Amino acid sequence: MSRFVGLDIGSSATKGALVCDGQVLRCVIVPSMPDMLAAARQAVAALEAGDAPVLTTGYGRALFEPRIAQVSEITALAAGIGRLHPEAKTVVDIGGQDSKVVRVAEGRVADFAMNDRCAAGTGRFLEVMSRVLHVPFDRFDQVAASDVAPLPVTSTCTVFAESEVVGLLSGQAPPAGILKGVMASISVRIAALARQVGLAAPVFATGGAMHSQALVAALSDALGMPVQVPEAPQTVTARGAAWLCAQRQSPNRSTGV
Amino acid sequence: MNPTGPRGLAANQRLQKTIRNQVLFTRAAKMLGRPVAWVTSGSPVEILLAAGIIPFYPENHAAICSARNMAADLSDVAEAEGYSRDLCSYFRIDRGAMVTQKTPLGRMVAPDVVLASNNICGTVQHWFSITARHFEVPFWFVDTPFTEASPSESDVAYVRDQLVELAEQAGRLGGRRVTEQRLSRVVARSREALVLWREVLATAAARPAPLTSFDAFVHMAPIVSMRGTRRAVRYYRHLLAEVSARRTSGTAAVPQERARVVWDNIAIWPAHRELKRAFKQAGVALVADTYTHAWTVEHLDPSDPFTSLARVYTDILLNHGALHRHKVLARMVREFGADGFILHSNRSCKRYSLGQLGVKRAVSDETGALGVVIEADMADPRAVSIEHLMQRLNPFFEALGGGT
Ligand code: SF4
Repeated sequence: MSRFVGLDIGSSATKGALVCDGQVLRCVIVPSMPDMLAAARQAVAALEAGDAPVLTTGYGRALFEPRIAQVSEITALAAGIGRLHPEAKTVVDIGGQDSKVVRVAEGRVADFAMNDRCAAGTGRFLEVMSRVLHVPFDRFDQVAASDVAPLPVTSTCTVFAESEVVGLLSGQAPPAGILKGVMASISVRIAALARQVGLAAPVFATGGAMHSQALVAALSDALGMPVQVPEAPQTVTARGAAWLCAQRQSPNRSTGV
Repeated sequence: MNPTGPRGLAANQRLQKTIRNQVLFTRAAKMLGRPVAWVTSGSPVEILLAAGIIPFYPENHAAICSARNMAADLSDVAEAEGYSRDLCSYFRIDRGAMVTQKTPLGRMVAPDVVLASNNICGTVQHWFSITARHFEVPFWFVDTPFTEASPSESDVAYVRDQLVELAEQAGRLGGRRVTEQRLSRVVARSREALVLWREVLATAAARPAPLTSFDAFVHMAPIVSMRGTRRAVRYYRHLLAEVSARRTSGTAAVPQERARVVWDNIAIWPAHRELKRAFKQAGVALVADTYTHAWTVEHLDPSDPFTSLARVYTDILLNHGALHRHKVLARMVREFGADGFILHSNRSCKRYSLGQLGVKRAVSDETGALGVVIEADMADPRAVSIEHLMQRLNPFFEALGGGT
C-alpha cells in the first residue's frame, strides 16, 4: 500500500491530497458548506483514492471515517511546508475561520500563535469586505493595481470595520483605496501575531487568500520582509496531512509527529 | 493499555470529608459565639487563629461554586447590581452568594470582621470593603508593598508593624491575646503543613509522575483554607504517604506519559474535568504549576513569628513583577523535566495574566521548552470554551510528541 490521502476539512473549503511514494498525484478542493461530511466524502471520491488510508485535519477532522488518525492543522501545515520548502522558518496561514503563524524547524512545529477568537485577521474579514465593496476576490489584484493611495481602515473589529468602510464609500472614497486599506489592515493583524512567535526568515504564506498578489505584497510590507507563496497555497495543509499519513503507516515509523 | 488508567487518589474521599468537617466546625464555632472572619487567600490567617477567630475563604468558596455549576447564576446577581463582567469572577460569585445566601455548603456563615491584603491583587481591597459594608462589620487590611522580586528589610518592617497592630485588634475581638508564644505554635503548624505540601508536589518530578497539577489544584484546598490548623497537617501527612507510595510503585497519574508540561495561573474550574481527561488521553502529564506552588515556606520561622509572617505574606508570587514570574516558571520547567509550558491567560485575574506573552518568550528562550497561551477564565463558564482551548492544546500536544 503506497497511496495515502490527506484531508483538510476546513470551515469554508475541504481540500484533499493523494500521494504515492511521496509524490503528489492529485489535489482537490470542494466547498465545505452546507454539509462538511458530504464535502469530505466528495473530496475522497474525486481523488479516486480507492481504499487508501486517510489522515484528517481541519475543523471538521473528527467527522470523517474511516481515518487512521487526525491531527491539528498546525501540525499538518508544518509537515506540508517542511516537505515543500525545507528552508522555511515561518509559515503564515490565513484560513476562513482563523489565521495562524507557525515557526517551523524541519517540518516540525517550533512555536505557533493563532487568532480564532475574532474574525478580524482571518479570511472572514476579507469575505465581508469583498461583499461590502462589491469586489469579488478574484478581482482583488485588478482593483488594487490602481495607484490610488491606500485609505486607512483602522477598526480592529470586523463589524466596526464594515461600518467604517460603508462610511468611506458613502463619502465617495475610491474602492481601490479602501481595498488596499483593508489588505493593509489584515496584514498588520497577522504581523502582530507573527511577532508573538518571533518572526524568522524565510517566511512562507499559505491559504487560498494568497492567490492575491496584492495581499502578499501587503503582508510583506507589514512583516518587513519578503513573503514567498508555495505553488497551490490552498492545499499545503492537505498535502502535509497526506505525507503524515504515509509516515505513520510506514513500517519503520520514526519518532512520528 | 488501560484507557482510564489507575484509579484516582484515595485521598479524594478524605478531602471531601476534611472540607465537610471544616464547614461543620465553622458553623458550630459561630453558634458557640466564636467570631468568624471572611479573609482573602493571602491573609496572615495565623494571627486570627491565635486569637481564636475562625476564618472563612470566599475565593475558595467561589471555586467550589464554580465546580458545582453555580457560577453563572451567582455572577448574574452581581452583574444585575451593576458590577461589570470584566471584574474578577471570584468577586462576582461571592457577591452573588452574599446577596442571595446561596451556597453549595448548606448555609453561609456571616462574618464578624473582614480581613484582606493586597498581596494578591488590588481587586480584593475593594471586594472585601464591599463585603464589610454589606454585613456592617469592620474591615481590616494589610498593605504589602509590590516588589519586583524579594521584599526589602524596610518593606518587611512596614508589614510587621501592621501585623502587630492586627494582632492586638484580633486579640480583642477573639477574646484571646495573641502572644508570641501562641502565634509561634500556629506558625509551626502552618509551616509543617506547607513543608508536607511542598513534598507532595515534589513527587511529580518522578517519571512517570504519580500525581498531576489537576490533582494538586483540588488538593490544595486545605493549604489555602486550613493552614495553621492540625486538620491541615493531618491531611497532608496522609496525602504525602499516598503519593510517595505511588511514586515508589511507579504508579502513573497519566498512563503512557509521553510529554510533561507545567502550568501558569489559576486552574480553569469550569473545564477542569474535560481538560484532565484530554491531557490523559494525549499522554501529557501536567507536572507542576505556579498556582499550587505559590507558597514560600523557607521564611516561616516559629521563633520569630511576626517578622517571618511579614516576610512570607509580602513575598508572594503575585506580589512580584513579570521578571520574577519568568524565573519561577523557568526553574519549574527545569526541575520537573518539562518539555513545554502552558500560560493560562485568565480573564478574571489581571494581576496573574499581565505580561504573559513576554514571559512566554523569555521562558522559551531560556529553557528551549515550547510554550502556549490559552485564554479562559478560572470560574466563569461563559468565558470558557473547551473547543477553543483544544484548538490551541491539540497542536501543542502534537508538537511535544503527545496527542492521539
Ligand atoms: S483571582 Fe486574581 S483578581 Fe481575583 S481575587 Fe484572586 S488575585 Fe485577585
